[in-house]
Amino acid sequence: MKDELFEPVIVVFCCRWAAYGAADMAGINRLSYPSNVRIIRVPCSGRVSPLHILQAFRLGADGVVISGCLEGGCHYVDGNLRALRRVRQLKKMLDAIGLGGDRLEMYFVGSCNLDKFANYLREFTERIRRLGPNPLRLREG
Amino acid sequence: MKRLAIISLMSDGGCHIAFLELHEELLHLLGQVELIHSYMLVDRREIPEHIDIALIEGGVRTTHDIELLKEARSKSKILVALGSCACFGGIPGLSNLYDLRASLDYVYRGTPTTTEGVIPHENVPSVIRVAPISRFVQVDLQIPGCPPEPEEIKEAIVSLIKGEVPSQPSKTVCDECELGPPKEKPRRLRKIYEPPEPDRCLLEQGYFCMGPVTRAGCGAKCPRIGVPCDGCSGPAPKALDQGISILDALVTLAYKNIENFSLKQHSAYFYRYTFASSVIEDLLRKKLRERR
Repeated sequence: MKDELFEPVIVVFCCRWAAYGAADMAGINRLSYPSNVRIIRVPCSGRVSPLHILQAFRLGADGVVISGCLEGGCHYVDGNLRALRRVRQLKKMLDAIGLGGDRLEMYFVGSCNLDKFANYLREFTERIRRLGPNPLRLREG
Repeated sequence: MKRLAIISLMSDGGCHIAFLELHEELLHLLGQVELIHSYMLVDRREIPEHIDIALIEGGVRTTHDIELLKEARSKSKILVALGSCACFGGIPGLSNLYDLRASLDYVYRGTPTTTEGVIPHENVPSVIRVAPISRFVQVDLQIPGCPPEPEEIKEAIVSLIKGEVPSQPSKTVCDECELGPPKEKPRRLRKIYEPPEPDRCLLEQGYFCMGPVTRAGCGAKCPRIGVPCDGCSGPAPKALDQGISILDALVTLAYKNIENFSLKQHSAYFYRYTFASSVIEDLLRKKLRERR
């Protein structure tokens, strides 16, 4: 697979309140963000278990983003901080098993930070492009 | 009369002993089944034909184990995984964290007491990554535990003789524990050699207790005497993956204590018995396959 042809698959877990709201608003305002992202809506970023993330990687996702409310703004008190802790632990595990912790990231966005949300996703997509495909992805062709 | 066989793969015989630990009850049981194969009690080398219930003890470590397992499966009607090694890979599964060649090299050549060691290669089956038996054959019933409870083995065999489906506990060790739920977050991490306070949840005191995610059935023997549960019975039915589930719990309860854990530390504490059947192992295996 040639690098310039590589289009990563990125799974984005969006919390129902802020991140999904931002994605929604981005759509309404015709703000473009990379088409590589697949958004999954969850009640709260704290709902995302490491199992969900690892399953995404197992099925061939090149990158996973957890996106929650701004710090202190979680609708369930501290769900986004729990998510952050899980992501930190998981990054280390992914590094240790050779998948690369950089393939996983946690972003905090407010529901009106459309530009920020789109920028984060652009940045992340570029990062995954540089990292190359997920080593677990089945070879194509 | 039903025919019962116990077949051993990579194991230390502890599960076999757990079965023999039924003592007098074993005599009652042997009135209902015929023990036709058991390397401790019966002088027979080959796996006999027409087995009704085969208890498989131990996980898979060599290609020889796979052959033996497939033979047992083809000759038996009901195949039971006995003990955590057969169910999840057990403690030897932790060796999957290391490269296979590197660990062979260490065992046969690198240990301090070895001089001029050779890795055996003639007329020996090749060593593979530790795996639970369910990766190679269909398993009808799992009796986890290290060792499993003799009582549970007996009940399972008795109901299998009657043609019933044995009941499996759906709760966790915490449900059976008398110490009660944690009331506050632990202040510091405690090592296992530090004496615990009585009548207080071990998680709350700062021990890593696997109770919340471990399958019940043992009667919470260890927490009852102040020893933290190390998760020998594997994940509770709803916990799916032991190490990940306890990580989920500990990020809220004792994050400061696990913040700096490496994967090896994490596995040694939380995947002690189930690493070979964990999600992490799945990813590692898939990665090795892709590289080839």
